[in-house]
Amino acid sequence: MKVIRVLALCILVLVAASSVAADFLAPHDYAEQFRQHANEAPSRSFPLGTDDLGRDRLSRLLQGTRISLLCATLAASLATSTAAAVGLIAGYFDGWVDEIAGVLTDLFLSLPWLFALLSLRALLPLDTSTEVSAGATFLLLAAVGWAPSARVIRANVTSLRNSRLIVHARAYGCGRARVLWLHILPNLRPVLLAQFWILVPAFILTEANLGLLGLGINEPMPSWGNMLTELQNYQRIPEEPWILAPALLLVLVVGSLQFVVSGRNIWE
Amino acid sequence: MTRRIVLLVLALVTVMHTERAAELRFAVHSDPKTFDPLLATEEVSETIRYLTGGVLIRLNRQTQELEPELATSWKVLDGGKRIDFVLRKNVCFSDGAPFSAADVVATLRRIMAPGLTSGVADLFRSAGEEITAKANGLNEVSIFFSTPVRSPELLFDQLAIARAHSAAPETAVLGPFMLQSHKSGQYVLLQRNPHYWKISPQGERLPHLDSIRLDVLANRETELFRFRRGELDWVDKVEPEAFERLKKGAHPGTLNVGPSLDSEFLWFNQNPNAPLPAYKKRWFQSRLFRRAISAAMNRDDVVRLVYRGYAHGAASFVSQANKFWFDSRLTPPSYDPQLALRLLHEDGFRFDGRILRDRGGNAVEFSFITNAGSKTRIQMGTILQQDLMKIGIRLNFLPIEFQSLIERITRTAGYEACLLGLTNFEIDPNNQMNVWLSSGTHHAWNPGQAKPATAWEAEIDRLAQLQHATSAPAVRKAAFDRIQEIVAEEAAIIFLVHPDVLVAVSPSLHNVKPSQLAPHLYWNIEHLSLSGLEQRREN
Amino acid sequence: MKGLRAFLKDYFLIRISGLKNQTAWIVGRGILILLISGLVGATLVRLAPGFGTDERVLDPRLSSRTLESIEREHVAEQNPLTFYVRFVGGLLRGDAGRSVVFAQPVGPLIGERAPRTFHSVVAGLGYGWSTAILLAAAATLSRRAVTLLAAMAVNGSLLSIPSAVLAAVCLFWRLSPSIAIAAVVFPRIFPNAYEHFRTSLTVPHVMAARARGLPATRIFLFHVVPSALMPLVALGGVSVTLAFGASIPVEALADSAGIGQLAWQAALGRDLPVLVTVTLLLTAITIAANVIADLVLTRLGRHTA
Repeated sequence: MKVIRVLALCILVLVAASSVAADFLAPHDYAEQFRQHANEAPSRSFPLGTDDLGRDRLSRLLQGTRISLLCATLAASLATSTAAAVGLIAGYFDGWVDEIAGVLTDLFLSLPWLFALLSLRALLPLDTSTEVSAGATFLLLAAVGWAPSARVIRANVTSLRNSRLIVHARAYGCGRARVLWLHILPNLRPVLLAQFWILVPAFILTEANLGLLGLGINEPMPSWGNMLTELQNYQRIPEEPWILAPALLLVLVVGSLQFVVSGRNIWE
Repeated sequence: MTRRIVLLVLALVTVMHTERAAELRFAVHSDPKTFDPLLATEEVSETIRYLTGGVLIRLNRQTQELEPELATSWKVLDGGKRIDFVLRKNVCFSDGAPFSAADVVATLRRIMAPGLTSGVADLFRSAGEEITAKANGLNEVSIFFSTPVRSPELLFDQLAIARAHSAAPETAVLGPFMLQSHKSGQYVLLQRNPHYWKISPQGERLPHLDSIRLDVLANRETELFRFRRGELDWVDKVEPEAFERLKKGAHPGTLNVGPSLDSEFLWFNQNPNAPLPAYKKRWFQSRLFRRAISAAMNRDDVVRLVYRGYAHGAASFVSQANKFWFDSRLTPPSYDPQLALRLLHEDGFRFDGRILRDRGGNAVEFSFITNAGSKTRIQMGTILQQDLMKIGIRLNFLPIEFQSLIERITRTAGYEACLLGLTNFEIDPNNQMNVWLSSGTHHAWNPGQAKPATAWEAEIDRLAQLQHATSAPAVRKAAFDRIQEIVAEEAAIIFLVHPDVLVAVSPSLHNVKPSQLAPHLYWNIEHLSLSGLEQRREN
Repeated sequence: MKGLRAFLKDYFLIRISGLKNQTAWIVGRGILILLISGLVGATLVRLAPGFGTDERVLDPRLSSRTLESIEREHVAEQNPLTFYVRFVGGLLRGDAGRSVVFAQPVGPLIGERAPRTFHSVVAGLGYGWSTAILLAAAATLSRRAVTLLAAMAVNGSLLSIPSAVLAAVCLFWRLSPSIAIAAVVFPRIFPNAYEHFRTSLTVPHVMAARARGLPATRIFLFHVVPSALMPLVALGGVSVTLAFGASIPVEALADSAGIGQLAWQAALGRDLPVLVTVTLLLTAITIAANVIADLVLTRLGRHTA
């Protein structure tokens, strides 16, 4: 398993490096349309073939990896941090604090945040750059996506709060902040990491779904989300299996992430 | 004992070979909002109206000629201010009540009631502020318009006659089918009208079909998938990519009927009150700028890549499918970036090889919106984005959610350019006055003007009134041709393509004659039939 | 005897009054959350762009008078607060208003569609949870790396598949939408379950049990699972909300006539009565699921304390 984890880490580093170096590695500009070569199969000029408008799929995949990985990772970090903060406070402090956190969590779980996203997009000027609007969308996703994780973290904290370790720490005179920061938070690491790597693909797929409502990343900028929407036309897959490339890359990245973060079995 | 066994076997064989009910199945893309034929405004309700409603005159969608239906004959009198109908005798509603002139009078009275809001009602009201009807006996009725109406007969193709004293108009109909049941989000079931008056040339009572099931399927992929599995009998308006796949799979029944009446186009916001910077308003109000943009757009690539060849370049709203009103002298602008640059140069723009700037030094950059979720429009927008980049224009292409788009183009004017399409059911342009007149609510680029903002819009207004006021077809045609030419010269609306009508029909369906005019597949619904004993796969 | 009776009476009275207080608190809290969520939901919808617009206004046949009357259809909904007060009043009388998009009363509309969604969600949760727990247990207990690899590969794949593709797969294989919902729920449960099972196996008393040679199954069922139960119970409450949330795109894309599809179409049409009703329904379900989870957690907490 250690070998596999190292391999997974190498894959992640490779993917991240390729996305950073996308401008150098990509054989063509991601937006350039080779209209005489639309829907072509992989070839030397176009290693992953071309899309409906003759754009090189590999170039778009490299560029899209940069956008999606960066935005989704940042958004997942933010959401996990918020969930950790809320879960920690709610789980450790009983009474009114826990109740308020519970009410807030339930509200965030059940409200129709889609309309907040629509309003946000409408507030942005029409000439807002793609990067800014993508950033704003992911930021809002992070701002509303913390609630499910917060409940899980709260339950863990509640369980840890009464554990021997914490009781001893408190008995020794540790202040609340110290207990939370030095004793409880490190023990939450596996849970936090698990929440984090679940949220990364979740946000990428949410961006894909939001694209149907014009809330995703706009053309010509590629993203995993807008490339994955091609798969809705599943009848193309047997004839053009290369359109699976973004999905396969996402599976590879998500799988590698989970191995690096939590792929230890008890026998190690 | 042996006799009993033989009788049993015979009974079983008879049951096995009994003809199954002939039920036609196709998809609609949303639930109907109403079953009242006079209130139908959106596509699904209008489909049900067509299938259940009896009309006085029917437009044959193939020949584009008017044919008698519930009226056996008619006469247009007083220069279009009066139309007399002779009604068919011995016709009954689906509940058995006899049809008479009183029903026509009651229908017209209802449609002219002030509170009634629907497309059909407005068509009649735009024909004349006051319309009255008078029954001249049981089978003759006269209809009077306060002002002369051009081609009033066409109006009656959309007017389903309702029973005079009926609380629920959908329960007693004159069409080939009637409503049986409806399950929200799932289906609408229509059954044949046992009292339908029409007889086939072979003397059989019509319709041939026993029932029609309209499955509510919002997702086009699902519709296509179920068609391929044999659960639906046809798919109308097949997406070009899906059509190609069906053809590749040698699916019988795929057919390109030809150009539709629909068009895809874009326009610039020329509303002087729009919340836009002044320099952008100057661009959009400049004829040379608009014509340059039109010349810089590669329509051939849009046809080839987006529509896979199943479309035609457009020069106007009116496509080749509209036999009488199409202006063959108008041709779609060719792709000519050099011409575009020349026109822009003439207008004071300067191109440094990378960026185009106006007189004031502003880089030419603008946004244009379309509705998200439409793959063809998003692809078109992406192609146009690249085309304009070649002449130094940066285009921010923004697919936005449909309701938001409607709000921007109809209420707030908070947009710079818009790419949209028109699904056109009307062949007579008289029914599109709201688009052509500068005071019209649908005068896309600058709606609801108190008086025409430009000389060319004033000229369009004059020509529109001229063609409305005359009954001579040649004069009307000439006036409308000139309107189209002005719109093309001014590039008020930049037309892109007319998509073709692409359909896929099950081989078990007979007498289907796909038409370029909507409804493409069921315009002759009463004559359609299904071949018999094959098992229909249940979903 | 008298003393015992008095003690028992006092004990149960305290417990019952305690329970009554607790129930009152839970109910009160639930109502408060419902009211707030309904109002916030109504406000979000009202303030969203495109509210009050209608596709019909693009029909060139319509006159300005008709267009104005279409605009007036939404006049009653302009102020979200007054709309909401009126809506709640109607709801208490059993009237959830009339859908603008479907032109039908909201109550029967939801009533018709609810069984399908509830069936899909309950089945989806069942399939998702059982598969996740089984795979997590197998991955935890197995000495073979390939088991963990396979479980994580399944998990990673399901996490990376868009809802549209899941819905399409269900359609293609004629599967119930509950399978798609299970495929959404599974990757949320499996990593947490695996992580907690793995952590529980390394606590001292479990290691001692392993060292003593107790069978793996016994260790797992009697020591690992109880230790991991608390966070999994919390996750159970959350997974109910997730499953209902997942039903929206799954039903919309698979054309399954449930509440999810209704909510999607209502969202596209800014159908305020339907959206507020669905929000309240979803909030009520969330509250109920979380209350049950909290009660179980409290019980478990008492046992472990």
